[in-house]
Amino acid sequence: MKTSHDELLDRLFSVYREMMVAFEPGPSFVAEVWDTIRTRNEEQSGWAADLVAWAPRLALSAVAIAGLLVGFHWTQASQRDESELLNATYVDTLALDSMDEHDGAVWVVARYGQ
Amino acid sequence: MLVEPETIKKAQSGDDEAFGEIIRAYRKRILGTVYRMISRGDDVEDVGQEVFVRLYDSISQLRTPQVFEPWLYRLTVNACYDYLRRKRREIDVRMADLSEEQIVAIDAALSGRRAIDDSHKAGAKELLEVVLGRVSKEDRMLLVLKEIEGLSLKELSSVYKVNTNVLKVRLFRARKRALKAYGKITEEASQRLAQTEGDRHEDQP
Repeated sequence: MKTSHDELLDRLFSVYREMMVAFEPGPSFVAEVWDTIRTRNEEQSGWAADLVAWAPRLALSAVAIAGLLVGFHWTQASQRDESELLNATYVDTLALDSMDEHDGAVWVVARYGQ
Repeated sequence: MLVEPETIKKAQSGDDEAFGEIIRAYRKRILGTVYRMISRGDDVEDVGQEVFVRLYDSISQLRTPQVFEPWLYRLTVNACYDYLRRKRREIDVRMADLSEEQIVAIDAALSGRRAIDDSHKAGAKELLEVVLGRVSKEDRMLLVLKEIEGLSLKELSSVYKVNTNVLKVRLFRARKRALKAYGKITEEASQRLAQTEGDRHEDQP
C-alpha cells in the first residue's frame, strides 16, 4: 500500500516527465560516432597488421634460438662422454662392462667416492 | 521499438547503413537518458557516443532483436557508471535557481490534493533534480530508468540481470532514500525561511 509520501514522490516524477524536454544532439553527432568507430577499427586493424607482419620473423627467430640451445646442449653432452672415456683406464672399462648393475654401482662408489 | 527487428538483424550482419538508422532513431532517447543520469550537459554527447560505439562492437552478440532495447539501456547504464567512476565524483546538483520560498511552496503544492499549477511545475522539476543529486548514483540510475524513462520491471530485470523481486526491493529502498533526501531539503528550506522571517521581525521597530 502506498503512503502519502509515495504519492508525493509519484507526483514529483509525474511533473518531471511532463516538463521533460528532448535532448537535442548536435548536428555532427552521428558523423562523430562514425569517426570514433573508424578510428578505433583502424587502430585495432593496425595493431593486428603489425602482428601479422612480425609473426614470420618472430617464428624464425624462435626456431634459430631453439636450434642454438639444442646444439649447445648436444656439444656439452658429447664432450662430457668423451672426457669420461678418456679418463677411464682399459681395465676400468672392462670391469664396468662385465659387472651387473648392483656390482657396478658398488664399484663406482668405491672408485669415485660418494 | 523505434526500429524494425529486420534493421537490427541487418546491423548484426555488418550493414553500416542499418546501424546508422539505429543511431538516428535512438540518439535523442539515449542522450536524454544519459543527461538525466550524469546530470552534466557538457559531457552528454561524449558518453552518448561511447554508448553507440559499444553497441557497434557488441551488436553481433545480441541473441534476438526483441531484447535490443534493454541491451541498449544496459550499455547506457554501464557507460554512465564508467564516466562517473572516471570522474571520481558524485553527481552534484545545486539549488542555483530555487529559493526557500519556492521549495516550501512546491512542497505544499505536492502535498495537497489539487493539481500543481504551471508556476510550480518548472520548480518541481528542478527540485527533483536536486533530490536525485543527493542519492547515490546507483539509486539515481535505477529511479531514472523506472520512474522517468518508464521501463517496466521486466525490462529492468533484463537491464540489471536480476529477478524482479530483487528489483522491487532495490526500488523500494531507492525511493525511500529519495524521500529522505526530499524531506531534508524541504525541512532545511522551511527552517531557513522561518529564520529569515524571524530576523525580519526583529529588525522591525
